[in-house]
Amino acid sequence: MDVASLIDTSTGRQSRSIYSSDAVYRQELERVFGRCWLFLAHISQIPRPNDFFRTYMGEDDVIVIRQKDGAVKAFLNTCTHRGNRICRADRGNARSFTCNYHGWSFAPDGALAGVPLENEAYFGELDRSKFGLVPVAQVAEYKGLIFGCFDPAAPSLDDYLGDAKFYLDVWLDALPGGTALVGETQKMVLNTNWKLPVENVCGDGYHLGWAHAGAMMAVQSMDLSGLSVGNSSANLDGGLSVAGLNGHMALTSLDGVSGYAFYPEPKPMLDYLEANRPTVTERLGKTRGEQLWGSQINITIFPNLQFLPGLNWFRVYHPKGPGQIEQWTWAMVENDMPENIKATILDNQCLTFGLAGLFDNDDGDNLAACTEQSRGWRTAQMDVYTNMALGRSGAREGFPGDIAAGLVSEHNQRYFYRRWQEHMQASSWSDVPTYNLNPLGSREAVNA
Amino acid sequence: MNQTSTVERPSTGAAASLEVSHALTQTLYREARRLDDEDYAGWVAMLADDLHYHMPGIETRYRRDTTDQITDLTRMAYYNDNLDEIKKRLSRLETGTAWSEDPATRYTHIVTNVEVENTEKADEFRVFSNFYAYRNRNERDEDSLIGNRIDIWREAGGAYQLVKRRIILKHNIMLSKNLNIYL
Repeated sequence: MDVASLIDTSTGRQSRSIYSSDAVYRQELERVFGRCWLFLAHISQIPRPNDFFRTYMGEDDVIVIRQKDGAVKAFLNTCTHRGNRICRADRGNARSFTCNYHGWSFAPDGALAGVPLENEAYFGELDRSKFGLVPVAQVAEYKGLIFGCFDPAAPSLDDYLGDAKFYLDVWLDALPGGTALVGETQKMVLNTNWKLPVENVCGDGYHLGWAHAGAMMAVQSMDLSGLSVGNSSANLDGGLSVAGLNGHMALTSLDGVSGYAFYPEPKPMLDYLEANRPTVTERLGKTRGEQLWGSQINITIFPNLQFLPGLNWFRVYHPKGPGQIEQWTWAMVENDMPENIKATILDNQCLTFGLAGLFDNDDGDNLAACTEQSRGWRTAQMDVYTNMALGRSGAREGFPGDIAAGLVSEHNQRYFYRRWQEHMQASSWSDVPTYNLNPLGSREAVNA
Repeated sequence: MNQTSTVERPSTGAAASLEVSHALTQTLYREARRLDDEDYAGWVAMLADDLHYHMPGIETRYRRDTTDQITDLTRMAYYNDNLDEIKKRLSRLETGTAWSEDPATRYTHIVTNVEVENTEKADEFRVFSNFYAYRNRNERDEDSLIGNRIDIWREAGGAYQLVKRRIILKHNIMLSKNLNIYL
């Protein structure tokens, strides 16, 4: 596959075939989802020993299990005998997982614990140690987020996240109590290629004022960095598009309050921010405490995890073929929040995003149609562009990354596709470049 | 067997009078017609000021898992709205900029299995029903939403107003790209 021809970062061009081609998709499962660290679960979802949570890594069904000693392991959710799915619940607590087909039973640590007729039918010759559940090669946690990786040669999770942690910590480490995901998983099927919702959230402030004009008029109670309804004006100094961090991105306003711009009654949220801001500033420093915490921030961890402090939703996209995803969404809260704030967040998250969310009502149609319009004989040969504000990025004092001004830019999307191309071209991790541009403390601007 | 986590059916067993049952059944049909017609002003007129409109999200759990996914209001719900929040949702449609609603979605609400019971309040009635809501949009977008409803309706001035509705949808993964529909 000529991956080089599919993306041109210098012009912001993508071939539409990357949204529709089966061959591209099969290579993505191998080189993106088979290689990158993928979000599995939040520690708040499996707090006790033997708690389990089911998810996907690419199209592979995975069970994440809290062990007796507090560690977390993850296994492919498939019986090692004939391949049946061993766990059929979304989550719960289980002392063992027994296959419905022939009754093979597995312990939470993956060991094959029981085989019916083991002596009579296998004549005691079955080596149980060779038939335990197959573990995910690497599992690691970063401040409450559990990630897994199929590639034993992948860099550590710490290195994988790199300087994106500067932005991650604005949510994950602002307050000592940490964070949690709330309630049932909001799952929906969308007939879109998985890259389109990622690009939509990672950097596309452009669509906000137009696609969501109706939703914004319905719920917006504060200004969001001058990004007014109808896209007629945008204050480009009011936010940052941050990329150049190993494929991870942040799109952030800088006012410290606008995360709560889409709450009908933001006052209790703003009071909470002001009461806790000194603590956060002490923990994270002035820049993050005063300018980022409380701001609307879209954080993307390559390839398929996104969360938005402020709107307070947390989401992964599981690919189901080139033209379909399952989109999983949760509300997220800081554990230090009072209960009434947590309740407001959960309600408002479901009102704005997720299946019945007013904003997601707008996006679904657009993303599905972009996918469909990449599938025809002629359209699959055509290109699409993220060429807004090309070459207008650089260093910004106090913030790591290659940064373009404003929420309206296509800077982040270009980096997303650049990272995608780097992975798709590389035959192993040793061929994947590492870059954390403009690290904190560096004097000179580094332009990508 | 334990399905309390997915089916909540508190029944008083006290059937309402034929007259009230007939009137409330007709009220449900009228409501469904207004929703089919996108007559949202007409629908809102049928809602009480103290409305609670609730549709919890339901995960697939083992039978032994007794987590209350239905009535625990601190858990996730696709709808957990009061009247103001319903009006806020509807106001998006009135802005003229909800592009995804034009062309219009075509809706059919089918309401069935209606049972009407008296409650401890003389002017309030518990109404069980099942629904089948069909949507068709654009060229070939279509989906079916099927579930149970448990309502409280209150008589006021010769008509009935919806005070509470709990909607128990049967989906785990929603096979549709939004919920631009009221059930």
